[in-house]
Amino acid sequence: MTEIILFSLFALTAVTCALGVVFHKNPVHCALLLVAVLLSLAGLFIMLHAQFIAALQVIVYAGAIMVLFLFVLMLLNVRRHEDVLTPGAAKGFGFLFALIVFVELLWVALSPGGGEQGSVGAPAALPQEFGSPAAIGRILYTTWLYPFEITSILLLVAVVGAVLLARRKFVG
Amino acid sequence: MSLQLLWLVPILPLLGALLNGLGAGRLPRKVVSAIGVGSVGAALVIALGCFATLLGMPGEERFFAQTLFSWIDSGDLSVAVRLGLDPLSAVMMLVVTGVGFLIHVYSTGYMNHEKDYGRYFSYLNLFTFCMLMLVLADNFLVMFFGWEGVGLCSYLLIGFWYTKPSAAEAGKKAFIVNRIGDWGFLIGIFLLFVTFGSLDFGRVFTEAPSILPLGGGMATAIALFLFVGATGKSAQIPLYTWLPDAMEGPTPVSALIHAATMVTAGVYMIARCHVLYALAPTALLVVAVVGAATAVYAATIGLVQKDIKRVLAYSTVSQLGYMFLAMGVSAFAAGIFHLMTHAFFKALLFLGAGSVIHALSGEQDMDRMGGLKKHLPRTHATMLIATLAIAGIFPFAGFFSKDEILWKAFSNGGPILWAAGVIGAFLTAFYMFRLYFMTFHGSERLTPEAKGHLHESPNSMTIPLMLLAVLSLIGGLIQVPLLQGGQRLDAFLEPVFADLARVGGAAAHGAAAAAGHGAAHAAHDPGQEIALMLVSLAIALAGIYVAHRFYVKDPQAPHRLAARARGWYDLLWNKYWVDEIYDARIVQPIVRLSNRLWKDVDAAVVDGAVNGIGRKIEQGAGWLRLAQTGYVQLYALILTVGLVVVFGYLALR
Amino acid sequence: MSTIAVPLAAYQILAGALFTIGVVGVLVRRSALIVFMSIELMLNAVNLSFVAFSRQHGSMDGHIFVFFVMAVAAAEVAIGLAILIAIFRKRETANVDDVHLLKG
Repeated sequence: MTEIILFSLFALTAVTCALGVVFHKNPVHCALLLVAVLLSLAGLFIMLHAQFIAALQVIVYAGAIMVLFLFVLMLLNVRRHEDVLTPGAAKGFGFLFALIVFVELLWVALSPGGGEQGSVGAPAALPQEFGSPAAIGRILYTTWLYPFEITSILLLVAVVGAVLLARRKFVG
Repeated sequence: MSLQLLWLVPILPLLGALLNGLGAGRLPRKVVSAIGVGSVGAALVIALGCFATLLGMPGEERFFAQTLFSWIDSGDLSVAVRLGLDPLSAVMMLVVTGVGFLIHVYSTGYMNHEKDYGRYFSYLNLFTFCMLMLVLADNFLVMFFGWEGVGLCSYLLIGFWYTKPSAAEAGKKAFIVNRIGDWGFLIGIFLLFVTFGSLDFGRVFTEAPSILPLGGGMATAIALFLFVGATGKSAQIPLYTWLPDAMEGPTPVSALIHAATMVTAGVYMIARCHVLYALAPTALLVVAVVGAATAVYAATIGLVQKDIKRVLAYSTVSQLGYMFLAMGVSAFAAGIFHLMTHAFFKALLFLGAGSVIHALSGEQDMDRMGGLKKHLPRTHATMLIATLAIAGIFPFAGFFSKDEILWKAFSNGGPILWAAGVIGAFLTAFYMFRLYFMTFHGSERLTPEAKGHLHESPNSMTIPLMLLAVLSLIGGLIQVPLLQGGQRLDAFLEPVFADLARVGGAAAHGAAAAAGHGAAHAAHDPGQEIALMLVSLAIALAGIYVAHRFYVKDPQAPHRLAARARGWYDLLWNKYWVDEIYDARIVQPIVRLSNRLWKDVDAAVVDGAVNGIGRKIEQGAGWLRLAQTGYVQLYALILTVGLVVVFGYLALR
Repeated sequence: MSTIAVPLAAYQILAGALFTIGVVGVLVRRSALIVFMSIELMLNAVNLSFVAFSRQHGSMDGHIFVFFVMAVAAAEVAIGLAILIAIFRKRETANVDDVHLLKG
């Protein structure tokens, strides 16, 4: 019962704040609302026994990435516009197709069995360590070693690229 | 000398060609000469060594093959570059390297003033390589390689002075006419491959008698298609027209390629394929008739030509006709004998003519020669020997070889072919002595410019002349008729032609049987042979006498005769208008057809289709371009549509 | 801990809702910054889905995927914001519909 209450709380917060992110006029508010979404998702992660991911969510997402957003926001100091949304037919089509996507996702989520074995019914029994940093570290450095190393290269490239692109004397 | 060195014979000239070709314009003349002459000289030495080794072997075992590398290995077709040495190819190899060497030496003198000295020797060496590959080939494809190679070199050397339009045109003409012949040769090769599944000489000729029925359609077709190739390369009716024009090339080239070696490739090829021809009596008859017709026909044109080299060119066509006549009456050894002696005296005639032309600074018109006997003593003496040889006067080389052909023509082919040969012999004696008298006797009709230049040629030119004169003098003695053991060439070539026996006695005289003369008695009849010999000797002497009457005693006689028989004279002077007829009946229609194809098919349909597709694509791209609005969100929207489709598929699956 | 009151489907519906909101944001907002935030929203919706499935199947591969998604998101934000700054310097705008130089 506690779980249902907690889930409802987090879910409601997440959806409300997400709508705020998309429709609020002030970009700074948008960013802060996004932080709220991220935090409520972190709560849901804990409920799902993903403690380590929840911690990452708070530290990396809500912390580092969002700070970066706010930083850029301040740096650009974008003037407020009257029309926040794109003008013209694109807007209508956007809503329409987004709605269709949602309906289809609902259909998939609610269809019995979802086409795959084990998606309904009681969840699997969890080992003691499930979701702990130790357990994640173990498979990350064994099964997923090469993707992990490649990810580090990706981040290096991103750092170099960002520095190059954001230089004041950008030649282009 | 070990026969294992055989591969060096063709390779050395190739090496010389590469060195001179790559170094053209940079190497000094002395080095070019050393490479050019040296490579062929070394090849000659090795060839002589191989020949000596071959002589030392027992008659039946005189065959040697050397595989250089595997060339093509694809499915059923397996071709190796393989050299084969047997008595027949040995004779050809010696002719090519021997005469070739002398002509290389001569060229160092004749081409001395030439700017593109290195290029000339490079081509000449390349030619020697290709010709050697042709004669030493052990299968049809390598032979075809050499065949095409000599054609290419012929083209390059005829058009050696390519800035002169007539030379460039002559080169093209030679190449294109040869292509027509090559088409026949190729079809013949294809048919051989289809029939035998192999192109190796050994296999084809061994299996031919058992696979192909005597006189069957396939044997006849193969033989005739190969003969089409031979008419192209060896300038026989109807493809002879390129050879007279080929005289645009330097004179040593005319001597080497268009008299002594390349043009005899067709004769060699038929001799090589004698088994196939023996199986196709009809084809043999065609060969004999075409040869005899060409011998007479070309000789008549030679009667009136004024250009010294053109007379020799028609003479070459005519003499090649004799060789084909010999092939056609199954006298293969006799044909090869004439090929050899002809190489000696015709090369000598051309080189002598070159010496005259050289002395007169390029004058080729015999109307502006005359009385050169005292100015060019060496050239005169050697030319006289060659002229006597080609006229068939005893005991010069031509007498023996021509006489053997005439005798075989009579005994194997019947009196008609023999009569054609005798008429040709008379005409030959006449026009050759006409050439000799007009050039060296009578009044001097030189242009002042030529007169000032007049000088005997240098030693580098006259020594090859003298050596060839010796060969023309004694070359016939390797095959003396009637004498017991005198037919040394016959004996040497005997192992090659021995397999004719397997085809069956009837085939050997098939030509005669097909001709319906019934003169197929191979029995040796010395009385008849002597009689025929005396007849042809008398005929030759008569020709010389008439020439003497016309061109020494009474120089006005030819003009009176020409005026009296205007029509005939014009016909001969214009070479029967064959070039004009070919142009009007074959070349022009093809040009018109090509123009139509170009404009109506190529430009309208093919180009139209390509351009049309191009325009349509451009149009489509113009439409498609509108999708690229540059607005990111439109792209995202399209992405979302894709997402909807994919999700929809997954949901409804 | 033995029984779970909230079914998997509830997480999936929540993830779908967040994803759809993100799609709407990408499609209808003019500000490039908000578009980026919407993309983050979509990524997080997917992350939620991964974690929920991980829980359901008792396999931690989902967690690993989330980890990689975060790394990629970090890289994407860094580069994206750098591009944004560069564009802003040149054209004094951060609106996606003002920038359409690649129009065909």
